[in-house]
Order: sequence, then structure tokens, then C-alpha cells
Amino acid sequence: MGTIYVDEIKHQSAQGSGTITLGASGETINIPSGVTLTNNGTQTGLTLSDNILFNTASKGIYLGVTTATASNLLDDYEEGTWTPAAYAGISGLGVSQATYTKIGRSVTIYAEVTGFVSPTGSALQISGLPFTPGSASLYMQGTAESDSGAMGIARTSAATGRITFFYGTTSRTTYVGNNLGGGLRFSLTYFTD
Amino acid sequence: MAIIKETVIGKVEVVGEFKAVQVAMDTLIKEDGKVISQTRHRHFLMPDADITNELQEVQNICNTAWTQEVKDAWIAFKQEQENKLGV
Repeated sequence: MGTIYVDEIKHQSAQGSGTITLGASGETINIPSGVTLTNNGTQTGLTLSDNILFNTASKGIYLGVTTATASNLLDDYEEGTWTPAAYAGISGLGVSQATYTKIGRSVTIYAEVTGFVSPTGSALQISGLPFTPGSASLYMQGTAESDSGAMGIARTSAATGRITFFYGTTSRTTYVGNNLGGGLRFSLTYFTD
Repeated sequence: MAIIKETVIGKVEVVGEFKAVQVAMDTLIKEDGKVISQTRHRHFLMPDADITNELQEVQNICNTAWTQEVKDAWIAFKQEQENKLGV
């Protein structure tokens, strides 16, 4: 069948509450570029009964604007796990949990690490971040708490891709591996490029 | 009813000036071939990383992206930043 020109398609009950089915499972309803879907009723917004899935990766939604502005495009969301690894100050560790959530270019990580192996007096550094810190993440910081009670700051670096820990009470004094007890919990938000 | 667990590459991306390789591994739980659960695990690799334990597909991407010029630029940037920031 070719093209049908109509002004309105309504449910046969004409009560405004019926369901109109377009296509069948697996089929594609093609909406040409430039078409606007408008809610001209009295209720606000558009209600969907399931998740939205794009058929192309890295597509998103422009939020808060009426034109396609790159700075308003939310095109990435992801949850997952990562593996903190000993880089300096200790030679090994156990991971109780290590998770991340990425929203746009913002990545928030959380980790609980325990069972430090061979802690030394060197500055504690942990590697294994889930995403590469961007060039704007040179000083991105979060908080940390060790089993010894030391409260501090976790700082990531774009240059090293690692996390370095500092005591919160003194000037840029680093956590050292042999003064932390057996474990550490920390959270941190940083940006990717 | 067969339930199996498999780990596959979810995504490999080469990002940024220094060609960092970001690797996402997906763990899938399948029941009779249908995915009923999926989790993602991530890590990334910079040009001076040891990639011997990475999957061959990831190693190939690293070796393609990390030219000597890229490696040299990364080492220089890293040294500059470490001098600036300390640890």
C-alpha cells in the first residue's frame, strides 16, 4: 500500500482512552527528519511504558533546550565495577567492592579495599580506575577513611591515572601504606575528556 | 534449562591525546541463550602499560594506537605533571 493522507487517526471508541497500535513487534515505524511530536492535550509530558533504546550507540537526549546544543546533550550513562590495584605503599590488596557510575563525562567511583600486603612507608597510590581521567581532572578529589581512623582526601591525576591519598588535617601529607591499618574506603568524582 | 556465564568484550575505545585504551568487559548470565543478567567491568590502559595479560584483540588495538610518537608524548606529559603535582 502506498501513502495515505489523513488529518487525524483516533481510536474507534472515540472516548480518548483506547489504544492505537502502530506496526507489530520487530517492525520499524519511520518518522522522517524534522517531524515534531506535540502533546496538545491538557496533561503534561509524554508517558512511555518502557525504556528507550536507541538503535545507534552514543545517541542521547538534549536536556533543557529547544535546539541541539552539544553542552546539553546527555549521551552516556553506565554502571559497573572496577579493580583497584596496589601501585605504591603496598604490594597487594583485597577488594571488598569497587563500583562506578558514569553520567556524561562525570565518573563517580567508590571502593572498599582491605588486607594490604607488605605496607611500607611510601605514599599510598592505587591504580585501576575504570575510565581515563581527562585533562581537566588533574586535581579532582574525594574523601577517604582508613581502618586506622585517618580521614583524608583521595586525589586522582590525569597524568598518572592513579589515586593518591592525603591526610585531611595537614598540608598535602600523603597517606603511607604502613599507617592505615588493614583497609581503606574512598569515593571520588572525576571527569573524562 | 541451561544457565551459562560468559565474559565478552563490551567495548574498546581509544580516547584522548595520548590514545588511552578503555576496555569494558561484560559478564553475561544466559538462560537458554537469553541474557537474564549483565554486569560491566572496566579498566583503561595508557601507552606505558603492561598489556601482556590483555586479550589479543585489546593488545592489537593498543599496538596500533600507541605509536612511538604517542608513547614519547605520554611519557613527557606524565613527567611534567608528576614534577608539578608531586606524587
